[in-house]
Amino acid sequence: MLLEVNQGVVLASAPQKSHPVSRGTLCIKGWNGHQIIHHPRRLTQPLIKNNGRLAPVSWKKALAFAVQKIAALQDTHGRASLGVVGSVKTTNEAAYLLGRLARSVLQTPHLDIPVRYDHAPSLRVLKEQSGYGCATAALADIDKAGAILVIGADAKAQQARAGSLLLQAAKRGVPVVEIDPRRHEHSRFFRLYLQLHPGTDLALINGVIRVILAEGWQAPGITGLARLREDGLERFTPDYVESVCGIPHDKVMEAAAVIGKASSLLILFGSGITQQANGTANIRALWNLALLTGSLGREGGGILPLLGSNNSQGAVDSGLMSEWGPGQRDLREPAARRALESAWGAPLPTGPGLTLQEMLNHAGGAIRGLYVTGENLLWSAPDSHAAAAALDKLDFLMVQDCFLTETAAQADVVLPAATFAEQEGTYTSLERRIQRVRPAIAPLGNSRTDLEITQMLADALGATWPVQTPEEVFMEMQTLIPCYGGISWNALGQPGGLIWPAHKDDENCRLYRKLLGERQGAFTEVTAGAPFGEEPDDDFPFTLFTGRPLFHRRSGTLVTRSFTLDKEDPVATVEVNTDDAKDFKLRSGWTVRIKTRRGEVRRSVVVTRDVPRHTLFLPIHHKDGLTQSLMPSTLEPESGIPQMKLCAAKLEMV
Amino acid sequence: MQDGTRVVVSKQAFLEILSQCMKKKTVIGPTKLADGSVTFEPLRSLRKLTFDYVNDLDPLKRFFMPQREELFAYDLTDDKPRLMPPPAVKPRILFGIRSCDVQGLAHMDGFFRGAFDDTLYSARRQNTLIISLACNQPNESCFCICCNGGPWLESGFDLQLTDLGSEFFIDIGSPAGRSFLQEWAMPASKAQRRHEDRRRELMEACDRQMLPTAYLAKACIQITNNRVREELWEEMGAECFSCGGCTHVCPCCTCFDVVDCPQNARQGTRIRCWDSCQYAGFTREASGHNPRLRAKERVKRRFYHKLSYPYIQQDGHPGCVGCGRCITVCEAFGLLDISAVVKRLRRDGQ
Repeated sequence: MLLEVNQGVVLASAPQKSHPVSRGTLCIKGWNGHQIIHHPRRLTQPLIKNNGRLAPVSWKKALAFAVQKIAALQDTHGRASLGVVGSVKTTNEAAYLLGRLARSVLQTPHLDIPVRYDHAPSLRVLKEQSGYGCATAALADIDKAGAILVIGADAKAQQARAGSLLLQAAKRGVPVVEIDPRRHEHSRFFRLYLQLHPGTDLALINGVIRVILAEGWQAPGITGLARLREDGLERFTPDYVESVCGIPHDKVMEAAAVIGKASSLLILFGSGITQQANGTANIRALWNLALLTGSLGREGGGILPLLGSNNSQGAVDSGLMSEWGPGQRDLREPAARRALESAWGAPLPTGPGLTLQEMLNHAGGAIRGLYVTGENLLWSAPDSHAAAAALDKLDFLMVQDCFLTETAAQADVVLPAATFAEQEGTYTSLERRIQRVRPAIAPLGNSRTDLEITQMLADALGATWPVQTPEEVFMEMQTLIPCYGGISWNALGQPGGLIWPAHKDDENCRLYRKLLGERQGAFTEVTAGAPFGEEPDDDFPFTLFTGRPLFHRRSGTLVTRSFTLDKEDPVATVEVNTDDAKDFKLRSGWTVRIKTRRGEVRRSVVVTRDVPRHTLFLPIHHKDGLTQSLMPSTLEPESGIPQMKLCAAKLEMV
Repeated sequence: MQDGTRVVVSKQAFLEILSQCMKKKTVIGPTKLADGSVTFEPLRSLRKLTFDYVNDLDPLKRFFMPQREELFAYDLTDDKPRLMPPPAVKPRILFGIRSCDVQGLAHMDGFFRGAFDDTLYSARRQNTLIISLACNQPNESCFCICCNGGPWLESGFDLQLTDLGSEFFIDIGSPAGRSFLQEWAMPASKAQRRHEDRRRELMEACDRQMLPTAYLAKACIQITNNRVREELWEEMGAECFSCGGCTHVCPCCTCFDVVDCPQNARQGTRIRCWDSCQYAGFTREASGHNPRLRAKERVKRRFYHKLSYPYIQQDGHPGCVGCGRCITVCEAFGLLDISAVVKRLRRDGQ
């Protein structure tokens, strides 16, 4: 994306025709996101809380105040009483330094990022199975796929570029199978759309695997099939799948035929299948499907999780997940710890780090202070009322953001950060593509780049870090993140940067070419899956599920401050099945109250057949009550992702 | 030299004078970015000027209707409210602009300088000398030939250059263009027969290169007579990503939004920025009712405005100049740009 600047003011954004991914296009957020840069409510001065009110102060004062508070907190309650929340939107270099600050200077193991809220299971399973948590395929594989499975994602709304390539593939006749409880606008263009009951994805994926095996459609030479059968796959008969998922027997067979007979299968998925009780099990089942069809490492095949933010992958690579350091080094392994300790010249904190939701759950207990960067937790965390109560229990809250978000307004210290237009560094996209971002203007007012803020904070905390440019930080990162090695700063400046492994050659951009041979038969365990956290009952008879519409982001910081984006979708809605609407004598446009065990919101009704009977679909929205305030924060035990996709709910007339 | 007069100037002499102009006023011209794409920027010397370009994505309407512009700043701190207009636009030359963009300006003039004269737009138009470069290098998506948007124009420019190799063939399109040649003592001579012949050859060669991909006539009939099946609009609406890219890069699209950006309770600015008929917020009424709530209705509206006879009659031409930018910029690639839609409408009627 290019920005047009005149006398220090960003006037416009424009697409770049030579970019290998965007190819001259921008989504609505790309065209209008620049409006936040000069927004009148941009934070341009540090703030500290004085007598209950936030007041502007100098950087020197703000940092001194923060350091004093942090020292008091850690002296009283121990180093690990402070938690740090990283950003999935800032640069790799800023993310890396924040991780270094948290682990080597603040000496706390509690560091995490909001990837926990959408793709923790995806990265966990991919790392567990392949050695590294990332996509095995690239977006260009959509152009070359023999067949495509899209599950738990509305690509058009959530990842426009993937949605665009998917639409083009479908129009060319590539068979696309979409599995989702909600019919999307592009579903009509796909070969097959399976509208399953929310939360039953695992049974359907296993059912498809079973049919492929039974029909002998698996890729030639695959071993380990006996184990797959012994594990309990046999129970997933098409009839069983029909009874659980509500998908007719013949549709399951048809989907299996499309997927099983494909020359190469590309699997795209979103948070629809991760934010569940079976989040990790779902991704393991997809891994099995990819192995069985021989898709990994094949042109037009593989697994591509539709990560939620511009730098979700980069923030993970840079070491901000609680369990992994830079390069996804497992911090439980002594060798990995030693390498980091040696590089950073400081011991690492011991003990397992709490995940993001765990930090909120332990607020006021093990966690007494939080340093939150670039995330409006009060909007993005599930069970928002509980999240607000958690922040209230803290002795100290420091927020670093471009705006005074709802979370920042609760803080004791607010550090004004620069926007993307003022930062220099790199981002790593969902397809492992590392690209440079260059500052179009200097940080506004007294705001600073995330990198500078971390460096200033480290300095104030007494660390003796050398002053490093983003390029120098990237060079340091390369020594700790092997997959970023061998990439020159200049090469990253080309349109589209580089996909690691760092070769322009497409052949090398597809990971695991040899993996099929090396790991064939390494199927993961087949499980029946955990029951829902909340089954509908007499009190809460509906299954409520959520999704991100085109004009909203979970954290809301960007879309609510771009005047064009903010006016696009002003009415918070609930989608109700036509037959349910008849039972309740409801019409589109009427206002209803949606209640769950955690709270209630008011929504305008949209009567539709796009959602199944006895379900309610709530787009993520903030008007008339936050959608997230309804959702449970119960953790899926393996990955620590909250089961915030679905819950039981009831509908009342207002 | 009269308007409509055709003269010839040595390229070297012309560029030398252009270089002199750069010292005295803003000269905006085509220049290459690091990635090889071409954009128009104020140039300080000829060094960055390029002639090696086809029509790129950069819509030159932005020099007259910026994506974001300050309409005025206000200050209510005193008893007497003060409105402060933005700085005046200084005289400038827009050099090397392609014919489709010139024709686009003619279309925008109808909107901004029609019944209501938009002073900011008018000031920019009046202070900008348009020296266009007739386009004998169409790119793969150009179809101006179908829309009377080029490659050569009869009017709309101050000067229209044709690159004959070592000379520029110049069509003088306005008194301002003529004054420019006189003011800078351009060593121009009347075009000879051989120059005219060479120009015609270039035009014919360009016509042959440019595939007329957008047969507008049938689509205009279909739309005007409401003969397009609703199912087709429904399908196109479902395909649309509502990114607004097609309207943003279109030389004929003029939609904007106006918002106030208060710095505090008493001071602030009023901003105008591009809007898009493809956004739901564009047509939502104060009551909350939206006559074009769904993408289907918005896509239909866009092409009705571009291609229906009532609008063609009102504007004197279709709402398209054939620049082909919407082909590149469309997220639903190959499905909803104007040439694709025209084709779909034509086939739908068969």
